[in-house]
Amino acid sequence: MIEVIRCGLLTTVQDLGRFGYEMAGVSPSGAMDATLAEVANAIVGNSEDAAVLELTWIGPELLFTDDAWIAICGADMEAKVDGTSVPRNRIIQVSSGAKLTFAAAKHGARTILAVAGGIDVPLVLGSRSTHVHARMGGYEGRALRPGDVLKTGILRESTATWLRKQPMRRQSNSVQVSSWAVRFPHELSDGLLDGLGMGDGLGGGVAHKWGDGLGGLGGGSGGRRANGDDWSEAATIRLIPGPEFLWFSDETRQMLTKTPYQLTQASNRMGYRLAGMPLSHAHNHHLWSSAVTFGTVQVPPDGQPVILMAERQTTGGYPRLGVVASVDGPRLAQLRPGHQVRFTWIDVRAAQLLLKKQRNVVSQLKTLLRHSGGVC
Amino acid sequence: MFISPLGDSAVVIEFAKRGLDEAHSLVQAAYGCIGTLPSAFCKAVVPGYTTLTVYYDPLCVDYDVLRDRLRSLLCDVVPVFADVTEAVDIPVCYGGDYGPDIELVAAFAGIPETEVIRLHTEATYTVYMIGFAPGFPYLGGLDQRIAMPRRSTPRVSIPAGSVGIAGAQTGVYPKESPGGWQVIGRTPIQLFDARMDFPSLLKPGDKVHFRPISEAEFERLARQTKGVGKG
Repeated sequence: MIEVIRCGLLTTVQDLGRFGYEMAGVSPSGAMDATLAEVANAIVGNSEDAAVLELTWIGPELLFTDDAWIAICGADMEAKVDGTSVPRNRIIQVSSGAKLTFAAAKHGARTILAVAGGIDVPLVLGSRSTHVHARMGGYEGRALRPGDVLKTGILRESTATWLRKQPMRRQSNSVQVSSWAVRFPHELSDGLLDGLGMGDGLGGGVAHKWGDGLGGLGGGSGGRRANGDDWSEAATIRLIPGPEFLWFSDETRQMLTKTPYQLTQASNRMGYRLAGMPLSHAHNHHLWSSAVTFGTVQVPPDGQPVILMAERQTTGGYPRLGVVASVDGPRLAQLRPGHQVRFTWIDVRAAQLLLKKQRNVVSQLKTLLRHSGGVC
Repeated sequence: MFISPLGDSAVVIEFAKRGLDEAHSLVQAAYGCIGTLPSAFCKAVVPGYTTLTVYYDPLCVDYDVLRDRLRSLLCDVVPVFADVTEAVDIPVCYGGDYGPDIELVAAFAGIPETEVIRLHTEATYTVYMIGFAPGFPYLGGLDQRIAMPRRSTPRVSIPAGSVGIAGAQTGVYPKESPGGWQVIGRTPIQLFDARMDFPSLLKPGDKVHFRPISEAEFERLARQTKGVGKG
């Protein structure tokens, strides 16, 4: 069991999302970066859809009442177990009684904490994701509060066997970490690497590195995004032209790519409200409400674009200028108020190709982890 | 019919070049055919007023392949005008504490409250779309006389089951929520129940009929619904 001592800014139980009920008005919710949840689960031997905790900007303080295997992927929130720093992207074994603390994210916005066995909350419409706005699913349909106690699922025999085979080294009385860490060839999955905190410009070429000697904390912690950009610079976000693309003049569509837009404070799991050069359209037609998806960029009458996220309403009536390419979903999830985005246009076919490459990288990793069985 | 991408994992089929009713009945017809597609081609479908959005798996299906498949599937689709659909009956207790804005609507229309209730309950409504919130129906067919614009200042909290009017729209709030609609009554039945296979009482294409009930009847039905459990 895991007891919540401090809850952080917004800590929720999530999995890959609640799909198939969009027609009933239920948006998927789920981890804002689902691939991060998959990777974190793979590291601790869970199935990909095991429930995890999503931490937002400022992480919680948690007490483990039993021994546990955990993994931390995403923004560097300076995780510590009983005062000892613990790395991201590796298995961490904590002893019963250990306290896991997080500070504020240095760069990025969201971190996933996976626990072997998964977080055990009831399924609602087939998912354990919390839809905070609709008060549905997860832990009592809400964000975690101090005093909450989380149950973890029983380990499958195969998972327990796999975990016991992993080479670990002791960091302190209450912590052991795996000798290996997850790494990727970065040229294929910029956004994904932003999420894994690997923005330190490491060269690609190998799917993962085994063995000791990786030195210090696993994963990148440098001040750069995966594509080399400084975290303080605008994040490049690729947009596929939306159904109302032609409502906007060519000049306006170019302007979108020339000036950066900043996330305002009114940005959350429902959507990111941006501030920048207003985008206007001369179209006078009435737009009947229609479905919207993750990453849809809507332009309300005030001309300030909104990027719809995991807990969006399932339908909307504002013009959809574009939709963020799924390959950049992980990058979107690491944005927080004050961060800037710079949009570029991409054709849907090119976006699908990039998505396939990104998914291949994730699949390769999961296969490697599954079959590693203690290889050093 | 016009098909375009909604990102890399969904497509929108647009029927909007026609009037709303014809477009919507084409949406219904298209929705009826879509079920024949393999699941990778159609993971979920969301009908809109004049559109049908199809979510698919881009790892298995390229955009062009899906677009061509949809075109050949739907090229001969004809409008479906549901003739013998039974309307879903929604009992509503109008006015009083359950409908604090009914007087405003009556004043707006220049008619007595009883007339507002008559106009609201005599119409048969069409569910164009479920959106905004789980189970929330967008209904068409509201009598123009009582199509009062929404409140200039929204309420912080509107009780679950509230029946309201906002311009040409009428609808029901499935769950407690902030909102700007003119609230004219309340229904004791649940529009959304997460324990059901299809958790929304209403779905696009359904016909809806509001039926006036007394406070006593409201309380009786509310107790019955509570007995089944909360959604």
